[in-house]
Amino acid sequence: MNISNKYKKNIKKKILLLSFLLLVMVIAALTGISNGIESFDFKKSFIAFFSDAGLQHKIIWELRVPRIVMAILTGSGLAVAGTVFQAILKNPLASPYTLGTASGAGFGAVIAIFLLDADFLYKDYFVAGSAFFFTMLSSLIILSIAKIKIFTNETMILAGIAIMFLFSSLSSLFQYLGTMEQVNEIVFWFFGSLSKVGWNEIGIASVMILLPMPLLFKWSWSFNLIAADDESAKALGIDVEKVKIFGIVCASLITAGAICFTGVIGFIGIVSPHIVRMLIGYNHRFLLPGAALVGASLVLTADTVGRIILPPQVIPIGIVTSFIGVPFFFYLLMKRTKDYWR
Amino acid sequence: MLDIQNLFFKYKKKFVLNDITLSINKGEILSVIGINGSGKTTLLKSIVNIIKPTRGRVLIKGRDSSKISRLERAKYISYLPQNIPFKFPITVFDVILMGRMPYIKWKPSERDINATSEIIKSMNFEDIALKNFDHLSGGQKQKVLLARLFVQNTDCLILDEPTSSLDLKYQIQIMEMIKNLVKTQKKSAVIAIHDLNMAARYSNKIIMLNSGKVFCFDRPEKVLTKENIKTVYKVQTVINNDNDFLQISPIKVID
Ligand SMILES: Nc1ncnc2c1ncn2[C@@H]1O[C@H](COP(=O)(O)OP(=O)(O)OP(=O)(O)O)[C@@H](O)[C@H]1O
Ligand SMILES: [Mg+2]
Repeated sequence: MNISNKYKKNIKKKILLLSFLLLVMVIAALTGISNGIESFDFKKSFIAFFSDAGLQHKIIWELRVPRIVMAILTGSGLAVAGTVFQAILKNPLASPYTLGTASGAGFGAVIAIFLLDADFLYKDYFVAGSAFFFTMLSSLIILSIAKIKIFTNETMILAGIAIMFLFSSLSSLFQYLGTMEQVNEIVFWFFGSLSKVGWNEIGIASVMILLPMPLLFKWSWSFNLIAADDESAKALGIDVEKVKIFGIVCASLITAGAICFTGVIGFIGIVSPHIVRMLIGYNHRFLLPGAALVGASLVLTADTVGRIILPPQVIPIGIVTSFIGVPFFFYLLMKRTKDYWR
Repeated sequence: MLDIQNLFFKYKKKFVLNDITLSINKGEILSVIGINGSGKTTLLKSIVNIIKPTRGRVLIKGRDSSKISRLERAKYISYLPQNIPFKFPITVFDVILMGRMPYIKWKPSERDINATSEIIKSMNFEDIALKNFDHLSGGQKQKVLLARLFVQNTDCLILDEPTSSLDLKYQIQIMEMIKNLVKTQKKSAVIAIHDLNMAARYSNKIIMLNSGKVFCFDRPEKVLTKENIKTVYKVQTVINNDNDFLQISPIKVID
């Protein structure tokens, strides 16, 4: 077989794997819709989904569907943002969480919650805007740190963790100063939860997450080159500075959208791209959509697990993802074999 | 084809390139020689506009290169870096396909894929084409990056030590490939190279750099003289001119 056919076959295989990941996500979503404190089988949920009345219909449409939609948005958003941060910073340990950008978003949301009246009409928009502002701020700090050559991959993550601590303590300070009600809301936020999102929040978040995604997908080849070597990228006609700056802006916007209404959901951004690299490889043309699907599946699954493991309690999703993410993170740190970027 | 006019470049306060002026025509190979740190790589990078010259102009086909967009420029001028990126965990095919970047939007076209396959065939890469680039040897990587340069198919080729990690056979093969390309398709190549014999044999002109200044810019036999080499390299040589091309044998270092 000649080489271009072999290559095309290889591409087909990757597209097949992507379809498989899509299937996994759909199954995770259906499982999420059917299960919870009240569980139905698929058939029943299917009927309830399309009927127009009844308690099951209500549970599904008012409680479960919004969480499922938000889980997909958040998971895919965090995963794509993580992939982009990793490419631009050439750092396999980068993610919204380890770089402190997620905590920036958190702090932004917390001060908005703190400063604005609880029933202020446009509160959601201010929470989102403020989260974006602080995400950008922490991203810019990271980007300027990345310009200083003495920082290695590990020390950059240490800097990220320092930023994370800074924003976390600032958030705690507000928590300390806040009223009972505000503290409740903030604490809830820090656990990371999909319980409070309604269609209004979903609307705002989907704009922040879905709008920048096509642009990032369009830059797949640029990310392939930038992840390896800026100079070759420049010589091949890529406006490296532009892709980096706008890539970071887009990833920050996505991070803020994913986090501002759901709270801290860690490890999705770092774990998802690595899973896809193992399955499909490093080409961002497939890596970005793959990571989005895996991220969504992970958040969906973590959310479902959190709802069924200790009924009638709902374990906040942030706690569940940490239980899955921490071991994987350690695994990554230890598996510094030649296949990893160094 | 390529005109460099009064080029200056400085890192921090130190001038690394000092008033470089040179030109190269269609169908010519220009070699850049000089000791380590003399500014060869810096010169090549400024020509490709990877770094911005402090002063001076680079004209490609009469157009000021700094006024051309990056994407447009990549259709005129291609670059082989001296240091091979050491982490590039994608397939060799994809690495070569990247040479088509200036022409690809999101999905490589049939033409891009065919151009890549052809070069893979002609350089005998079929066996490694779907392997991970990172798992190749240094010399193989260098060849693959050269292949990438060839599919980029530009009129100017800028190569920083293209033969530095190749075996004897491939050194000659690659230089012959470049020469054929330049001659038959009327392209121009600028090659930084340490091997003076190779430079003598394959170049139409040589520029000898000494601490960022043009020490000498002329035909090979005018540049590669005992005296010039002695002044710039501090090495005593014997130069033979029996065959069709110069042969330079180093004898000893002069303090
Ligand atoms: N990023 C940098 N920052 C500061 N100085 C630099 C930088 N890169 C190169 N230099 C200096 O510029 C000078 C020229 O370097 P250049 O890489 O152009 O040399 P070269 O002729 O290519 O050397 P070699 O034969 O070793 O490849 C050297 O003195 C080097 O120390
Ligand atoms: Mg050099």
